[in-house]
Amino acid sequence: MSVSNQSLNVLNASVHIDGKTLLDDVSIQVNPGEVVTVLGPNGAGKSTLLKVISGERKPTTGEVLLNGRSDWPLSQQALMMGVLPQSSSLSFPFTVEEVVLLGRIPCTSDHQENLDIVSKALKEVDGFHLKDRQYTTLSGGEKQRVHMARVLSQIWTESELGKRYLLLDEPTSALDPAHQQLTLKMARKQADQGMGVLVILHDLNLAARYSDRLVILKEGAIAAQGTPAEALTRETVDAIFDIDVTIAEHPVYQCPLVINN
Amino acid sequence: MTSSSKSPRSKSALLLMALAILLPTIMLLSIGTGPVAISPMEILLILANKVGLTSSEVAIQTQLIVESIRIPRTLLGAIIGSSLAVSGAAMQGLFRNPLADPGIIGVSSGAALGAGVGIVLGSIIFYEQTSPLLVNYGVSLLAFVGGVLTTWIVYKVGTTSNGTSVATMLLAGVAIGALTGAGLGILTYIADDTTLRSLTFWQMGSLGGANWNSVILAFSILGPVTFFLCRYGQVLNAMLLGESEARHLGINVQSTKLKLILVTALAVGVSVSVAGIIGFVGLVVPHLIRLMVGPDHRTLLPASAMLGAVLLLTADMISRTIVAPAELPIGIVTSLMGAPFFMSLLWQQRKRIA
Repeated sequence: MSVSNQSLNVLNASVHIDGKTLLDDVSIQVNPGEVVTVLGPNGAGKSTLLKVISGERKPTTGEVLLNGRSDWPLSQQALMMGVLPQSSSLSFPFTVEEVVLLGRIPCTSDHQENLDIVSKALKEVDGFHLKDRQYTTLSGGEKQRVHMARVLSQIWTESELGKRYLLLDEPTSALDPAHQQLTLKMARKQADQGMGVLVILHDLNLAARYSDRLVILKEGAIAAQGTPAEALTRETVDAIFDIDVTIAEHPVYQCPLVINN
Repeated sequence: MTSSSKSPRSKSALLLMALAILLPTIMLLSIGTGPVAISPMEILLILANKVGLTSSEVAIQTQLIVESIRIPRTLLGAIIGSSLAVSGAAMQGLFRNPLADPGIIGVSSGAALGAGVGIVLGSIIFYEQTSPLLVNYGVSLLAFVGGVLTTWIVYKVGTTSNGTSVATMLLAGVAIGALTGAGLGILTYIADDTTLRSLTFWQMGSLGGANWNSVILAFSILGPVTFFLCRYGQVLNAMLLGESEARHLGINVQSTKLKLILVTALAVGVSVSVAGIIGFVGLVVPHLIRLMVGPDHRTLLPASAMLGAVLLLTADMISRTIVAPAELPIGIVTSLMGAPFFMSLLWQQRKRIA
């Protein structure tokens, strides 16, 4: 693993709070063009890892390099890194379009260009028909997609500062199966167009199908990692998630298929 | 793009324009209203004389009333209405909660306690040796300190990473209200007769004490404060998403919070120190604007500033005329209008609060 100024690197990050270890010497690299998925049981440190990467939480030891630098001003970091949190509390009656427009706050483009980007971002998440709806009247899944569009619109255009990264914390948690698939396809597409994507997921098969690499956390440390085929073996799944599974070859795609026994 | 995507913007522009016409009109009406009715033409003539445009004959008595009573009172009402409404709007953005209001969460009473301490201690220590303007600034400073402390406490108690719980916030307001009530009670106990009268006045709110000194004090602080807050539109929009989200959008949340708490407390503190507790302006005005053009702070803040002035001047005209020749404290008028409004908001939101 070589640190470059064209990647997102977590270097030996640990987080200790009140004598508890939330994250234990974790190193991860996300390259542009890649989808890296972080898996792990509840409390494994996935969300802590995301907070460390986004700069919300300083690691006790170790550091995070965004395109080679750890000291970007927030306003510049925002042009290279979009973060979708697990859930958002927004209780003011914005229209959907206005919510997605908030994603353009760090950008300097004019209003008309912003509106165009907002429309495109909403189309990416199958949310264009919601454009004029009031946000507070949406369902949980619709809200999640609107925030996805907001984060997409934030890093929609390439930045001269460096490559762009999309961080998604359980983006499918409130979604129906069709929109789960759509969301992961969208993430894959963004990676194929040059972004680095880091996703936190619970669904092993969605992870196997759409990721280049998996990082599996347990009790704050990396328990397994590699391509889906390397990381998802019967033994590791049993040891980490405590479930009895059969791993098969996906009949259509080149990826493992996890079947509950 | 279709017209629907442009309409929020043109609606905002229309509203701001309408308010920009309404505000001077109400100001003229306010100057003209009172025991001696003065026509708008006369007022304009006096103003034109003043700046040397004309030199017409105006009755000296009318001129005196306009210059030393009505204009200071109108200017004071306008700037206090503006800054209360803007700081209410900013506070609601900061707390991510449309029910936050300086009066309801205890900031006004905290500021009143500060001001009360200033008045009573000032009367004991200085008598009347220092210049009134200096004393006014001292009382304002203490009101500001009281306001900052209470805002900070309510924010700490009521806010979690998921935003501000309405219930916790209101309960914190109740607790602070009780505490400051006790403090003001103690001050009432040790105050002499004159000070007692001004203490009672703070707690009801009135523009009756308006003079050029209080106008200078209010404008020198509230003018810049209102202007400062109006520039925070986009930042407050981002804050509505949540603190983490605002940070991801490139906003320095910690310093923004600190600035907003200090500046809103300054606005409320100075308002309270010159006009006493005038409640509900910060709740009602932003809510009305949101109903008209939505929650975008870039419009909400300047529109609230103008509508706040309009509303407070209207309330002041009512307070001056409804029991003429006596005067009803304006705090009572705004509470009579605002409290039922607050009730209806609670009624609408009762499911979310429980």
